[in-house]
Amino acid sequence: MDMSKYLGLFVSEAQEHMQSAARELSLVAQGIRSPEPVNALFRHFHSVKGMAASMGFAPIAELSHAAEDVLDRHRGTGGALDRQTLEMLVDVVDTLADMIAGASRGEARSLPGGESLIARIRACLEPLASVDRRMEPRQEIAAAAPLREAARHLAHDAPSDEQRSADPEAAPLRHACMLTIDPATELPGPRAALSLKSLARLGVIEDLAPPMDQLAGPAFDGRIAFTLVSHVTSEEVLAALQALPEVLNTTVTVAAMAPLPGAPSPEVSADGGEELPTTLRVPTSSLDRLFDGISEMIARRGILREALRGADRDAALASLDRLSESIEMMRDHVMTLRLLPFDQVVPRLNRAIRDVCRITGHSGRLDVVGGDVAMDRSVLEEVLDPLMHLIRNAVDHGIGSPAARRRRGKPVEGVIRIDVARRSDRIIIAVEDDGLGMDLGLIRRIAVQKGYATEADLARMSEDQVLMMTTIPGFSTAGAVTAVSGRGVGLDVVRTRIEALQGHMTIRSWSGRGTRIEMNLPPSLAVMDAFLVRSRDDVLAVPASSVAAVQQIRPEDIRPSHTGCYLPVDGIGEERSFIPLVALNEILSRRDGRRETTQASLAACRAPLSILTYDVNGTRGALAVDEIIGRVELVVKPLGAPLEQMRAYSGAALLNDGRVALVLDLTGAMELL
Amino acid sequence: MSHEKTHAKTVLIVDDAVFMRRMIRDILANSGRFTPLAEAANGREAVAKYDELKPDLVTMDLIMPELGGIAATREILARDPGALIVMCSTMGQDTMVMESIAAGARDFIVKPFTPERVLKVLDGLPLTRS
Repeated sequence: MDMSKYLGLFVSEAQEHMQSAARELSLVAQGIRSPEPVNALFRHFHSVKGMAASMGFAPIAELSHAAEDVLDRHRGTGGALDRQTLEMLVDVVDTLADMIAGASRGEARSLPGGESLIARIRACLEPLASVDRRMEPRQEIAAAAPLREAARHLAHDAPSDEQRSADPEAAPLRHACMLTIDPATELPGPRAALSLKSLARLGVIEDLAPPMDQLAGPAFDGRIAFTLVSHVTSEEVLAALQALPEVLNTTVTVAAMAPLPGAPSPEVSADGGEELPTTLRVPTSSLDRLFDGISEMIARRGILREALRGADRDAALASLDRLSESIEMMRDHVMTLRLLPFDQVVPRLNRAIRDVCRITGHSGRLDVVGGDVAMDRSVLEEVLDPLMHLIRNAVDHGIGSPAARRRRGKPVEGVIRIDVARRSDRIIIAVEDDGLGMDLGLIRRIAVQKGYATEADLARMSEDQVLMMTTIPGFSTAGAVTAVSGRGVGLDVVRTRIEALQGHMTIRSWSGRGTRIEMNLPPSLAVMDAFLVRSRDDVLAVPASSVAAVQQIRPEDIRPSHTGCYLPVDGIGEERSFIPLVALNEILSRRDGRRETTQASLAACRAPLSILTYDVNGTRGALAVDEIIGRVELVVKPLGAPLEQMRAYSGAALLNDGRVALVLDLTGAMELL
Repeated sequence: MSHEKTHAKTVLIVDDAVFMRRMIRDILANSGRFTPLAEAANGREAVAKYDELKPDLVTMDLIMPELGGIAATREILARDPGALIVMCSTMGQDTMVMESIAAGARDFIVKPFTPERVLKVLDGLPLTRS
């Protein structure tokens, strides 16, 4: 094909891409924190690569490809590029601009400077490959999830005419098939996928080897084997295989008769099972790093021991600090190994959506943004149930029926979007549907009807607060109880689960546009951010997620009454509201079989009091303590039987000095009083 | 011998590079059996133009601003399950192409492409929509 007539177009467009790339780079250099410039840069280099390849300009294509690889590595980092990468990319843009100009002058295809720059880039990417341990398992998993989905689609394609016309009474045959994708083909994985899709019209595909998620990988050698369960004859299957484009060496053998219809058929499970994997694949470099970390710890321990023998206190403290550093680094390494990307659970969510769509007759699909966001496996495990709940709700009540959607001018297929993101050190998971939104008027009416709120209360509430009333146990706005949900067991369960995880939930809704339920979660359940507080000689931990503020108040501010002590908060004069104040001493005195009231406990105090104000399940209050020791990260273990029956405590943690601190469960503790 | 006049298939060309769209347009125009009907520079335009013009076929680039090829493919198929969409990828995009196929794309072509290759793939698409 004569490409010379496209030269002008190539040059002008490629130059535009380089100018835009230069602008994006300057945005990043200014410290603009947004993933957009990095995404745009990726697209610019990707486009130039494609165009240059089409023109036959290999050096330009190669350099663009190298730059594309660099940006691909950085796409998950939220828009940050380090100094070295930034400078390298600026060089790339300059060099490419020169090469493009050279191409326009019809100069020799190869320009000096290109090769050394490419070598420089590859050298930079190499250490990234071994250091960036997070990319390896995650990329593999992230790529595998949509491909396992693909396997499910292929295995369950609708039966075609050929299949239906065959004798439905006879049992289907199991055809063992093998084929080789032509080595000359450009993309063997997709070619294999298309072949399988085409064959899936004839029946159900099982036992695909290698599995779908490996077809896109470099290890795929073009050979696949599978079983086609179908009523059609072997000759027809063979003919279908031979008709496939770019496919060689096809064989078909009929194995055994498939089980009779009516007999339970084995699940074509292509999504990896119900649970999160209990084993991990980690790059050996991670294990190496752990080993190095341990060696370092042992060495520093030795130095500490020597320093202690030498009775030089400063040296000993310094060695202890060094040892602590090593220990904390090790902990971080191990925590990183526990990270799983959200993508892990997406196949399950897709299946749930399909199931509910089938039951309700609604049409919906799942879009996930931020599937690569990784979180500790403990959080992912715990959040799965509430998430499934929200998704089923979204299909059943959120997106609406196809008829209702059509009436509103919406496309028949509803979209359920899950947004996963990290905000400071929390994980935010939002489930949003594009349906009709929640009916605020209906919620208000039900609240009044069931006695949850008066008209006056409602007048004072914000929209968010009204929406949160749907999480009251027993509150249900569904007209009828359906098989899926609507028994009034729904959002209250979700909220309880999320708050048990030290998280919280918010609901937003827009009439006619949809609803968004957001879960704000800690990054790990293994480690808890907590305040250590003291009551007499006891040290307890209060989860930081429950704590709204830490303050010092004057004893005069406390308002005693016959029902207890109160603290004024918010507003002035008439507008003031009060929250109950309880002394930790009073709570613990119950444990000891005494009764030391808050009033008695605080009566003697003249000095400013340390209090924590908390907000749990919408209930606000204040806890007075003898001392707020500090804020720490604790490894919390559950209490285990029979101690877990104590409502006041939700776990225990080992402190640095070897003592055990119980973790206070504020709701449970207040119930004691 | 009867000469049946089969009408040329109309094609919507989707790619963010003018250069690529021009190349594909020329290949189609020279074939005598495909008519370049319209062009779109991103997924969002593609969905809009598809709705408006109902082409017989679509060539869809994978990586575009605004809305990418896989998402656009999904949206077009959601509105018209019989749509015939061919993905245009570069080397090394196996995973994305497979995702597109799972989403319902019918076939794919790989850049840099030759007229023969493009026409072979387009010719291979079903004559009647299933």
